[in-house]
Amino acid sequence: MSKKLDSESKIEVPDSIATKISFVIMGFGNLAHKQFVKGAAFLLIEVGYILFMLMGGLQNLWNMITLGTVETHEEKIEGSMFSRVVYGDNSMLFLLFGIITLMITAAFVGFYIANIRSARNVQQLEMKGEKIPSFIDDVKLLIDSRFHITLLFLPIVGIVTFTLVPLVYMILIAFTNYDRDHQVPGNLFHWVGLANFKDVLLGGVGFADQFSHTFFGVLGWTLIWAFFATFTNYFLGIIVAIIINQKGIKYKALWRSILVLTIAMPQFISLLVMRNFFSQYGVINRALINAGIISDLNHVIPFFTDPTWARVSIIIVNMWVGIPYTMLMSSGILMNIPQDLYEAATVDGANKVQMFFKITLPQIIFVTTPYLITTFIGNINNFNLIYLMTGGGPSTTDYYAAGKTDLLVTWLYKLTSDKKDYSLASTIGILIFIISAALSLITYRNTKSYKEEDSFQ
Amino acid sequence: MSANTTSKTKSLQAQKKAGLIASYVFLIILSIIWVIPILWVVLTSFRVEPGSFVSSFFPAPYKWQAEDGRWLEQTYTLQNYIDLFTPDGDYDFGRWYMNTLIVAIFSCLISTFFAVSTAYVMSRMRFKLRKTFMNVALVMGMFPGFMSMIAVYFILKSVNLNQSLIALIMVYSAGAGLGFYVCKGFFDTVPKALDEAAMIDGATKAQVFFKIVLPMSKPIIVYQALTAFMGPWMDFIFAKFLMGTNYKTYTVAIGLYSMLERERIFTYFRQFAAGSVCVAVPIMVLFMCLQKYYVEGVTGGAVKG
Amino acid sequence: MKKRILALSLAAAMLVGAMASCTAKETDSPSSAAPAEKKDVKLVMWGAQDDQDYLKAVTDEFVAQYDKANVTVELKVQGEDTAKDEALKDVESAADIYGVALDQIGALADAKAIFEIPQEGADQLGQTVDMSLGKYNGKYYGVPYIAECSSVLFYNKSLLKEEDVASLEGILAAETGTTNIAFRFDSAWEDITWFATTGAKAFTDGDRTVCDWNNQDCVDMVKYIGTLKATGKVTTISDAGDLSNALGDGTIAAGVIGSWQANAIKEALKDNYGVAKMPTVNGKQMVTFASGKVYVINANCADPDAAIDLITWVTNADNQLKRFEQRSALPTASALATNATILADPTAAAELAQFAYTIPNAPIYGTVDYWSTAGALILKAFNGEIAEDAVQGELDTLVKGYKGE
Repeated sequence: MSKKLDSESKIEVPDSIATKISFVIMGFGNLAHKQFVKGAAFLLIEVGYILFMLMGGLQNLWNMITLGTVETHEEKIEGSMFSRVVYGDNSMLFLLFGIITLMITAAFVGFYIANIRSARNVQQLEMKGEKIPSFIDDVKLLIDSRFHITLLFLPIVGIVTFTLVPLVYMILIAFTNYDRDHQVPGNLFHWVGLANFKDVLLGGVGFADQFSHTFFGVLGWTLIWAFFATFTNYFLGIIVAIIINQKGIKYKALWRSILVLTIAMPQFISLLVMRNFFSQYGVINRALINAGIISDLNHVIPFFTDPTWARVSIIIVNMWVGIPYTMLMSSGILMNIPQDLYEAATVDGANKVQMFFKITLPQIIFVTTPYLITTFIGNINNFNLIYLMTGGGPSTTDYYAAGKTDLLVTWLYKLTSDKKDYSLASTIGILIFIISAALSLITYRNTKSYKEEDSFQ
Repeated sequence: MSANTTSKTKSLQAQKKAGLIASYVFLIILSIIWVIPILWVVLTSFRVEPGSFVSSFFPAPYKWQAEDGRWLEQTYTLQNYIDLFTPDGDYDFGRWYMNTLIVAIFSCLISTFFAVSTAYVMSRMRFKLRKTFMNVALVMGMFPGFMSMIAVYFILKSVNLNQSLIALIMVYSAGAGLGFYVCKGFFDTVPKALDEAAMIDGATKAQVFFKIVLPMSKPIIVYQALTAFMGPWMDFIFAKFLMGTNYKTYTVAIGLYSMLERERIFTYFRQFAAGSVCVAVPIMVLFMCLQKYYVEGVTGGAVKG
Repeated sequence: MKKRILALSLAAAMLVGAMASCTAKETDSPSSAAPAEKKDVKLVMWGAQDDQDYLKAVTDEFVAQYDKANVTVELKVQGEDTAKDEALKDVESAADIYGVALDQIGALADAKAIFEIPQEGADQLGQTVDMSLGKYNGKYYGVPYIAECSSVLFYNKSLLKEEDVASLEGILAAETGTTNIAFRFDSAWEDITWFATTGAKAFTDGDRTVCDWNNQDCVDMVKYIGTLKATGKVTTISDAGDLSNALGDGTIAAGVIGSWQANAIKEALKDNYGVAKMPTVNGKQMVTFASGKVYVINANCADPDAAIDLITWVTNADNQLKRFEQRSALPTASALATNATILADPTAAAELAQFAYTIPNAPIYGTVDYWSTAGALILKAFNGEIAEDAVQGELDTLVKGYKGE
């Protein structure tokens, strides 16, 4: 937890008695060296943690292992025709509070280590006859060499509470049988090990087989979608930016602003309108019928009803959504490309197309690789677009609870919200995560910006 | 980026002119495609004709019989806006609007601070676990969030904060520490020599952060703030999940989305459009005003994200 | 700085305790209260936004006349369509009484989130309403207050005559100068008619293993659907808004959809608005789901007896008639089946007529993958994407999926 600044001057010495006592009574070393505030803080943390564990923490950990044993039953209500449901243990809350307790324990271990380091540190300082830092000195460090602790404290608390705990919860659900047949609060669920992963990846008989088939089908489309959605937006956005930034084009800001309007419109509004336009008897098909190009409703363009059309349609709609972002960003980059590069190229007789491929594109790609990765991952998880445009449809008999345009993430949503198959959904969540994380870590680590981080400046 | 500086012949100039005209045509078509859906929403918000879907792009005149038996005909009206802001039981758009504004302002402040401080630390300070933190942060945001909603709900409930605006602010801001990459990229381009010079003069790291780096990072701060500010106006899933049936703490996004339910859309669609305009206009204005910074921020950040 | 997390966790720990004690307390309260003295009962009730005024009036009357306890009713807005999800998210925080769509009580009952209504209570309620709709796995869980069929036939009176719409053959034979009829072939909700009309069984009494939708009658029906497109008189429209638009501008002469879209269609067709029960096909009356909305009682409700009294009050014939007058939703009270007000409303009359030809929308449909697969299969058949000899195979797969084999 804490960072040693005086590590060079450290010598190995046996722990003093005060330090040894610190192993049991936290903060003793500090208190013995008159660092009262720091010592008291350590002590308080220890007391608090022990109290917490005794008052329920230990029980939480045990509950997490069992996931509950008391079954729900019914009891006749006296003087009434009804029987009351008397709930047993709530496996879901047991799991969640178990995780919270684990996090608290992890934090406590961090403080415990900090306590021992601190005790050793003051012991060393005393031996060397140096001044032992007062509380004020410590605080001063927090705004200077240890400023990162100050700055990171709240963000990390936020991340742990609202991202890490839910994340661990979700991961652990994948190893249970928390599905529609084991719904809380009326039912218990249990640990099942890797059974869900086996069903999803290897298939099996009946249901599991269909599930596995759906997973690979949906995964395939998810990757195809992410690829096209990312690169169409990327290149078209760059082209639009180049056209706007041409010399000679007037009202550059106006053109940019028109496109940017869509960023400010909440997606569920603009996408609803788009759906209305593209629907079977929507504005576009109706115009075609009125113009006599299409004879009747059986010959309309099946924008969202035919699997292939639907897939193409959402990629097109995604361009409408995404091009403004890329356009904005590449505009900024274009303005920063030194003009003399182009002038030199013109002198060498290069034409516009050559200049685009030799100067503009490499420059933009070089600069935006991290952005590309983020967008690609973002598209794998592009929930809004699919959910609001097609809802995953058109549906198919081949898949379990998924349609032909469902991405893994929208399928996951259906599994949780409609089917209550939490364990399967979270298995898929983990698989999505592994794919995304592997992709991005590999690519990101290979970018120049990562490798040359420290040499940049 | 054109080649006009060295265009020597007339044919080249003619070619250039044709190119420009083609570009203008292209841009006009593009603008129409981008503006039409928005225009449709605006037109619908003034429409008299009920229903969610109409037969023509522009509203048709609508005839109806008034209470006194006269037949009336009208195409455009302001009534949808009036209805929208007139509370109808739990439906209180004005209140939702204020809720959203409050949530947006606070989560914007907090999450900008979180993202900027994390980015600064990652860019300027070197400590153990730094690389680990960066890698973890990179991948942590990749878990689909839906599964975690229920966990977040019960965490908030355990401190009695579910169904409150504070809960929304916390949820929207808490993850901001993970979104530091763009911002860090920007800080990396601010020369370190400046910090070093200041530190030689005896400035603490905190002073460097607040007095030197922050003032130089206006674009990225605006970028972060704008992104964070827009979030609460658009999120309809997470907010609905947290708020449940507590209409008093709804945000506009939940309220508007609930107007689209199957049995409600026919009556409420015009109000939905009016509400959409009320949400979109301020954000658009804000976006237009701050566009310059947004571009600088996102570009600067992406350069070394 | 550690204190903050600690406080949070302590609060978390306390919550577990609090929840345990809370459940216990609620269990005690009804029995421990002395019967002599009138106790205070507070009931929270969820209702749809459009129902609020109606519910306010009706529950106020209930409070005024109720003498078994000092009851107060708090109304909150929560539509029936998402009430199940909202309740299952956190059963403890859900309302004491709420309305849900009929097919959702299965999930609620499985999670033990609602009270079972004992036979005694069901018998009593059965005197007013058709309790068979609120049944799941042989037990009663809900009190129906709105009945609906999965579909009725809407048509344009200027293009089709009343005698035309009696049979599908009649509709197809009529000279309309446009597409004669549109079905929502991709929607399992309306598609149930193709299976149900054959008389094939599915999920009788909530039994998942009963399903013979792959029998010869069903195979023939699916083959018949495959011949419809070639007539040029039938089309498929998936979006409800599209369907009312197409009816309104005369692109189609008739459309089959649930009565929930009636208002929009009425608006689109104006004076040409026509509605009838489903037509016959090959001489057989087309059958739909009998569905509806039911009130359920939260298992955490402190006083289920007061709750059932309130539900009985809201669902009595008078109050159901009031609801009909405000929302034109078909009542479940048997006394209203011959009511003149209801029969005067063409939509309600058509739906009431259809109600005689229905199969229950058993909650089991929500637990098998019916909703996403049946529509896909029927649409495929209509588009001619299933060869005649492949129909049997497709239906076998479908049924196998439902049975979980």
